[in-house]
Amino acid sequence: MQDLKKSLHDHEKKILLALEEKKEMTEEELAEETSLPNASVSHASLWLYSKDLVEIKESKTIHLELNKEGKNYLEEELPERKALKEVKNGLEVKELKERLGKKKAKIAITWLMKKNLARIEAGYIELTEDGEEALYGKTKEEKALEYLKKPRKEEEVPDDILETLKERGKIIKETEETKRTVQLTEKKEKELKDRLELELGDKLEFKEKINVLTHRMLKSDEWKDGEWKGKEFRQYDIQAPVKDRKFGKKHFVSQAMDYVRKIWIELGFKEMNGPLINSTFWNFDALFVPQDHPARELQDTFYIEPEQADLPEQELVERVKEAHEEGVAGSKGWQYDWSEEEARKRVLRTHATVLSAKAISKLTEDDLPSKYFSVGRCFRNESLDWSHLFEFNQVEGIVVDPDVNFKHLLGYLKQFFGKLGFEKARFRPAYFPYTEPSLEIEVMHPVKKSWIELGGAGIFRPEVVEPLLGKEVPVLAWGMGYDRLIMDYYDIQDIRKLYSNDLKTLKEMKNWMRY
Amino acid sequence: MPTVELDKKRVIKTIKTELTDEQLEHEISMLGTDVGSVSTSKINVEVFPDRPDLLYEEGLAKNLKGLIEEEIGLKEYEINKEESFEAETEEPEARPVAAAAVVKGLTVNEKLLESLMQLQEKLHVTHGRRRKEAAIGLHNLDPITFPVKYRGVSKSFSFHPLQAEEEMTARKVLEEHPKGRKFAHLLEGYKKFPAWIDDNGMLLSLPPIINGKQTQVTPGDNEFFLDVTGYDKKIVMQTLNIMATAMADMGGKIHEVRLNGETFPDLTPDKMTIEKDYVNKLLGKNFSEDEIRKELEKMRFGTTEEIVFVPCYRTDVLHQIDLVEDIAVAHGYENFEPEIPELRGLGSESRLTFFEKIINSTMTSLGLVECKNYHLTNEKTLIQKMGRKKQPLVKATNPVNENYDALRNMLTPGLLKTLSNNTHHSFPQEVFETGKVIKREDGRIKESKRLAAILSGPKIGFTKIKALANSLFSQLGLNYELTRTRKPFLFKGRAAKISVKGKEIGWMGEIHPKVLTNFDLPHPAVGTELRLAALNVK
Repeated sequence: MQDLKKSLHDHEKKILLALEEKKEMTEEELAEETSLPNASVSHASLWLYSKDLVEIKESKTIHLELNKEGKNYLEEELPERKALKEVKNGLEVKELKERLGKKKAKIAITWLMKKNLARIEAGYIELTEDGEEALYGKTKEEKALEYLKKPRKEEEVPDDILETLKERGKIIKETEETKRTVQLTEKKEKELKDRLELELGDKLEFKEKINVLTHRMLKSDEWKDGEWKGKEFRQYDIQAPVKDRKFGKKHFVSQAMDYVRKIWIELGFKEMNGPLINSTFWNFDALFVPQDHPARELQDTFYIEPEQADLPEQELVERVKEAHEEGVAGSKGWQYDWSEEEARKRVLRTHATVLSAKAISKLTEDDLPSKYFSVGRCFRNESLDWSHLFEFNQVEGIVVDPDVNFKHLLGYLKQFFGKLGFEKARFRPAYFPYTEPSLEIEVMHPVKKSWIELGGAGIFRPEVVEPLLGKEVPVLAWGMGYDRLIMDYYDIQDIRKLYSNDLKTLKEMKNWMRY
Repeated sequence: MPTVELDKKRVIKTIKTELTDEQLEHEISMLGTDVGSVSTSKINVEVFPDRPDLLYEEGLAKNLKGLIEEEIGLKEYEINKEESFEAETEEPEARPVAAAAVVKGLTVNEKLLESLMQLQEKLHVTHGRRRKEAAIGLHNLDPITFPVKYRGVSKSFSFHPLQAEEEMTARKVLEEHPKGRKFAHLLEGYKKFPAWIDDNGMLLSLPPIINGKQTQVTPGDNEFFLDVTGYDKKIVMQTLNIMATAMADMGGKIHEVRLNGETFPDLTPDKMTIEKDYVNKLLGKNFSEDEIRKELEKMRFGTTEEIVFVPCYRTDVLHQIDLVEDIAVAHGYENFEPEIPELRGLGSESRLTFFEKIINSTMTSLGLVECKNYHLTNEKTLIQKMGRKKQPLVKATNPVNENYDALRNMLTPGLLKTLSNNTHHSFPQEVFETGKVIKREDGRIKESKRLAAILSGPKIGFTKIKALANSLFSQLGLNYELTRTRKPFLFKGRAAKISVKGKEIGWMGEIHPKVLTNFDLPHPAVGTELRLAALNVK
């Protein structure tokens, strides 16, 4: 009950107070009584009605006033009055038409005849007895026009006058007005007082409440002296809907990328960047992928023509060629004729490993041990549907360190995937052309409670490392397609939604909240 | 990665040890083969392309038996030399390298025939590089009269190919036969086609296209002629070895074929050495030499104290590192204790990323929503719709999807397209994107990062974008100058060039109405596009 009292707006209270005395008032009367603008009374009455505290009655009133023509007649005189004066002693109809004008004479004659004020015989018009009388008195029409000199409500106009006016036609204007009367019926008053826990005889008493704090209040001397302590503030309906704020926002994929970048950095890795378009030399050859390997075929890889790419320094090219043709570091190699032409083709990078290869080639003995990572867009020539996309995000890291081994690789993986939120990881043998041993990582999905495949890892083959670094050093490497994790976090089923840029969705999506 | 469906009964029959479904699944998976599913009668596995010897039931079983130590070490394959089959090769210009073998004593039923066909098909795709490097022909031995000859035949040579109703000329096979059409490109440019022909002039096969009808293998057959052709002797021989040992694993006896006096197949294992220290350093273990040998034997390698014998079907072993992996696999990846490395060295994000993040947070703080578009788009969006003049774009040679064949050389078209997909949402809409554009300049390809922003809505005009630029530049601590300019996609008289320290770094202005209508945008739009590196002047 207290709630009702607190939730009443000042305007509502003023209206209730006025009604307590008068029980039933029109909105106009209420406006006068409460000194509120009409619109405020209207609104507040409706609020009270919706809270079931008052009744509202609607009544319609029709206002009558003279229209332009009616006012003309009132100011000048009716055509028949003019005619009465002219016909006083009788005259030729023809003559009357000349004096009044054809049109006016016609109207006048029609009315004179209709009301039996004149008669016409053989083109001669003269007044009847009624006519004589009318000449010195006033006609019904004239009385009616006089009556409507000021606008009147239809209901107060006597029937005969109303009839006359309506009969004459085209001289009055009708306007309809809807009026609301607000009633505090005995029943409602009792309910209201019950809800406010008052006895029926008690007077409603509402304290003035402040709605909005104003600059003037805050700066006034009284307020500074602490007068606000005695004021009451209106409580708001906290459930009322509000419009959203306008705001800017980072794309959720960017947020997810920032997150994984943070993890790499915490693990002590340095970020690598590089071009999207690379020579096949870096994308494949340097990674010991033979030149006729299916992964290099047109249907899997985007080739960019016609320009040929530059190759790195000749010495490195020769070492890679040797690795393929005869093998290096004790390997048999692939034993085929390696083509420089083939290595100069350009591709949109198919994996982030191209960055790793380049990073290794720049290292010297003094740089070891080194750890690098990359996060970025890679490409595969694929059609576009709910589960396939030709652009994807890959994350990859490498550890170039003479003192690490397979067990460290597993340790790094445990740590990396643990930070990504996967406490349990297991490893399965796998195959990649550039790593040996190779493995696939499966993690236990903490919610779905099932193993999911989440990435590949391995130690770079000697045939990869030797040409790039000049010696055989263990290089631990692992990577994963990252989009799958983003989709899992946001519960996205259709991979195209990652880049559909629906502005409403982008704004409504929660932020990447993983630590 | 090839997926194969294997007959579970045949796998289990070959292994004597009893395994539960879980054990079977676990062991297969620990062999490096991804198990799709194990049902009552089938095993679905994904086999990595380096291990074609796991593509058939008996091959998988042979390796599993090693892993569970039921049968370890090198499996010896005998070659019957008592009865030798003579063959000749004229080394035709197309596919000059050939090898052959005969297998007897293996009665094939439908299921066995099916798995042989499956193995042959997967080998064609992976090891044979879609038949270019190796094409396999499997024939019923019965109708063949030796010696057979491998030679070139003219295009008018006529024979009855498989999957055809009647005889056709070789030319017609390439033009009309489904397999001919699929693989004709492999014989393009050759005057004569390679063919295996028997002593009676009957065609066995026209590699790499199709076999002849007369030697078709049908259930019930028990003697076979196997041919492989290609360009590289190593690949051709490896392919023959995998097929021949597979048929031997299934129960057949391999017989020798003499091709120009050379005997095939050669199943001699490769010899390799392995250093204990190398193994232990890489795996972080302290294996003894005996332990290393034991693990290798479990993977079906043969060993002596000095030598590792690599089975002829293991074509993936190039370096002792490949043996190291097999030792790890045999030992079980789960038996390596992950070692959390000591974290040395400081991590860092690149300057480029750091700066892009600053730009990003500045733009979002100014109330814009970040969008992300593909790098690949099309000429229509980049050029035509923008009203720009035709210019060379960087395009993919062979896109699967024609709507995404060109790399963007500007970010703005992508953002306009984004807005055109959002017209049903409330306006104003304020978006931005940072990302790479790829351009052709003086015959070279150049990649650079850009920032673009578009504001669109009723009553939006030049002042809005200028206000945005003011806030952006002041937050970056930069001053900029505007000079009047013209761009085909901007309103004349409402377009400006932006310069910082006298260097042009981009533009801003009102998007031209014709561009707005091209993108079907319902409200005016203003935009800017800037070179990111140019904003990073410190």
